[in-house]
Amino acid sequence: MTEQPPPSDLLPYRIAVRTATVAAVFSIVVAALLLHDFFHRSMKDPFQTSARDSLKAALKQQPANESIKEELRKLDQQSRSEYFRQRTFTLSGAALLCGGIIVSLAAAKWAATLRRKQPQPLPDATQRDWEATWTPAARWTVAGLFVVLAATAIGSIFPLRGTVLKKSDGQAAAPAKAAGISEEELARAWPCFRGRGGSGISPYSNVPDDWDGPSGKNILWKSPVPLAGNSSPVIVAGRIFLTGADEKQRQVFCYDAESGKLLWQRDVPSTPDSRKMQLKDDAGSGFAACTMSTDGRYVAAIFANGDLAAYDLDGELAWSQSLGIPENPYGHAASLSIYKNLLLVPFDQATAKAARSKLRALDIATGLTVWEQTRSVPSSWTTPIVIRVSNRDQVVTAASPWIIAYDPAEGKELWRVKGSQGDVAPSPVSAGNFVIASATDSAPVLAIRADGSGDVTTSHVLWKGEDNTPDICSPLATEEFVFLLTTEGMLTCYDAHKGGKLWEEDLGEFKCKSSPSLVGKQLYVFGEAGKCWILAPTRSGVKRVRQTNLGENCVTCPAFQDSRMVVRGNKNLFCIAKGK
Amino acid sequence: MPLVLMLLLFAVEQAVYAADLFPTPEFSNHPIPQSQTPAPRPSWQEYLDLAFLTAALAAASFLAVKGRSRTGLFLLSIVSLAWLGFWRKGCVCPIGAIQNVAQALFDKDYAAGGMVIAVFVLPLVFTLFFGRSFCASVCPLGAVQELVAVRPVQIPTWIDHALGLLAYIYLGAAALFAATGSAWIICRYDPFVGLFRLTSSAAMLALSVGFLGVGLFIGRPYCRWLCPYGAILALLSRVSWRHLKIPPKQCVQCRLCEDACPYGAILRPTVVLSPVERMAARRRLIVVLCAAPLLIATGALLGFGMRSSLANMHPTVQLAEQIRLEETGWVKTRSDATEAFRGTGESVESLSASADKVLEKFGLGGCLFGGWVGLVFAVKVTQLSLRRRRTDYEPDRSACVSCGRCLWYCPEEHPRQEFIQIQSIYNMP
Repeated sequence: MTEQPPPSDLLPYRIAVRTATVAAVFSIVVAALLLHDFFHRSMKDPFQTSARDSLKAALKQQPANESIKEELRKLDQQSRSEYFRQRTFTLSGAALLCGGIIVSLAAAKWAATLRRKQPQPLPDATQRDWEATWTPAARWTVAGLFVVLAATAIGSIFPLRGTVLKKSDGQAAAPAKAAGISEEELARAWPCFRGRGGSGISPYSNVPDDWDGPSGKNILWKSPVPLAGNSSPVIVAGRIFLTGADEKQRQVFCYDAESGKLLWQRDVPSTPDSRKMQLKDDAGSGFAACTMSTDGRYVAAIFANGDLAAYDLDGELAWSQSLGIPENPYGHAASLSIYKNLLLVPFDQATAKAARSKLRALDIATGLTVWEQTRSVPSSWTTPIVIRVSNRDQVVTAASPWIIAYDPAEGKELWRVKGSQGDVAPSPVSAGNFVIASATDSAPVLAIRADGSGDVTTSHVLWKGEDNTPDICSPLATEEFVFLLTTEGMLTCYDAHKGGKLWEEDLGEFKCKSSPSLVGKQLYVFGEAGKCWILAPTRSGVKRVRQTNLGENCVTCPAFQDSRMVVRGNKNLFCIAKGK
Repeated sequence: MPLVLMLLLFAVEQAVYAADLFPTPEFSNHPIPQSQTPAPRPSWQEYLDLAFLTAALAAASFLAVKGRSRTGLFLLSIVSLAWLGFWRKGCVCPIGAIQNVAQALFDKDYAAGGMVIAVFVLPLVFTLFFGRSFCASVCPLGAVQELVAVRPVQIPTWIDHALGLLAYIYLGAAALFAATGSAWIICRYDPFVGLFRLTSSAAMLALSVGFLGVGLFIGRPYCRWLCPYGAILALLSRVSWRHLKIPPKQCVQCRLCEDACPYGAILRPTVVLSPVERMAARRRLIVVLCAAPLLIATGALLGFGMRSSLANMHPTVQLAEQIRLEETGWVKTRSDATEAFRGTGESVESLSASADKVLEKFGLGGCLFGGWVGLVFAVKVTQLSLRRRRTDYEPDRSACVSCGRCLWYCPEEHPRQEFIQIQSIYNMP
């Protein structure tokens, strides 16, 4: 057998390798020149020169000046010549580059062929089970691929994160600029349903207790609300926010707290699905029953059809998403809460068995879900409250049958108590280190110590109140008293610590859906017809101070500021201040 | 090399793109030309293309099965690349014709031309008779990958089998989107058409460069793992009448071809299983066969669930969504599409109703697509659980693209081709 020289010694191989190398170097040089030319051209547009701009400006001044036109024509012709030169250069370069690559590839392939080694016979291996070496791995890989695809599919069906829609310029909707409000202003804010902590207690005692809507007494201003709604106002940085909706549209309104001027109103984005919601007007809470919430930078709103959106204080949409139309017999009415930058979105629906109820925490700036808890409770209409007990922040929810507290930062369940039943509408309130959770007219009100963990039904329920439990209105709790108000106008006072009923007061023909508020030592109880009882409760009874009149129906809760009260009627937004 | 390829594509793209931006002259009486629809190709040219395709398929089949000429196949692939790729700009394309056929089957308002059907069917027929001769040296996409495969390396077989499933999923998705009139994704995401036409978007440019760069070291990545037409051909090739063989006559078990195929398409002889192994294999097969309906049902369920996401590919759904965004203030400027829609006077409600109808279509379509994906996985796992008896080295008929690379390695082939004398082989140390 003749000894073959190694391929590297063969002349054809050497020629092939050198040809491939030369062609590759040539291609790189041509490519570099093309790139240089491209970037050079990118930086200098022949049709956008200062000379051209000056001439055009001059021509605007003197449209009939032929010499300017002639100059422009010359410049235009030069630009075009340059353009064609560049184009020829690029196309020639591309052709050369193409040729170089083809030669290089062909030569490299030729060299590889010449270098190919004559295969050598191997020992007989027919007894080796070749398939067994790779089929198990292949099966697992195929199974893994299926799992990955299935997970991707599930991810696209049930996205865990909120949708941050994009603007037309391709940029994600940028978080709105910081409102720049001070800590002081933030502290003065009325940021959610019934104010900070959902207590319904005004931090100011200088709020007027006498007004008359029809005559304008103590009415600082009155502004019409463009769309109906049962949501209450929230206030931050001198702006009042509330929502309104009907069958076709959902809107957010912003008023100037000083003048009552409508600063902006925005349509809330919806989806084809959410637009389909058919809610009967007599279904109960209406299309816009949920009160907004704010962290001082953004305000967020949710509607009965599950459309959720956040705006900056100037009305720029930060994000929106649709949570889907909730399965809720009276319409979704649970208001939003806020914990630091987290928007807490209660979304109880359907039955407990269906386990479709959720409590979500979204980053209010982006709408991204930070945590989400599935709750085995049916529809409820309560607003979660954020409290701090025993150095532990908690968000307390009430539904049937569970009153559950979660860690607002991470969503972990802290404690739960079984006690509610039926359709739960009154929101919980807190006083000191305990929570008052009122259930329905058929279940007792519970006072629960909020420092437990796990199921504390048997250990942390301090007392139960059986009499006159409310059906819609939320309780009001102070260090000393717990006040319950029924829709029929029965006001009942319990001892906050011991739970004994102290007294009850029938307000007569006074239907109530608005929860009571406390200003100083006086209770403000709005009736559905717009009348408001100012009451002075004591341990032994209650004194009726006076009855005021808003002049139109009212089912919302007032928001309080220094020396002012803002309340929404069924047509107008009122600001009540002394001496006006 | 990938960098150089990228630069090439980048340069030609810029050259062509610049022409589109050419501004109109200043103060000129030069009439601005009206946009014109190019006239269809003369029918004789279409027949010429068909004749070329037929001749190329016949030549490739002959060269693979009878002539056993790697050189001939390689040269033919260059001719095919020049004709079907660069001259016809990738548009005598059986791969894309999948979509014509799918849409024609499901859309009563769309009819695929006879020429398109012929282009779709011809390679299938040849495959039924002679294996994947279309892939061997007729398909321009395969040809360009074959040409750049300078140093192809072996990919582990288990990875090859798993990635090969993507082609079937892509086939299902392409059929779904074409059948619903949503998009022709095979054409839209063809990684090499930009090269053939010397113009491309930046994203597709990057894709082309990626495939060509990877193709230097991994043979035919698109053909093996993504080509939807290749998926159909692979199925038909399994039952082809004739197919390229590694030894011209009898395999001598020399193992020389064992690692010859860069596409992992050579099957090795198998061993006789012991009774215990046979029992275990049988049990595994029964489990897999029982799980198959579950996989299909899971796929169908997930496909149905994904109907909304899938429907977003449809232009009507996209338009309805764009209109919604504009109406709700999400986007500040109107797009050309929404302006055109508003110009029609059609109501937004009717557009939404049309979008809803599309969504309904995707309910069934998504279900079928998901079921198809489940079926693909079920069949693959079943295939991987089957043990077949083989005594010789054989091409894997579904994966083999009949490129003829392995022929050179067969000692039986060398004397036939008169490379060397037979004695020298058997006298080798």
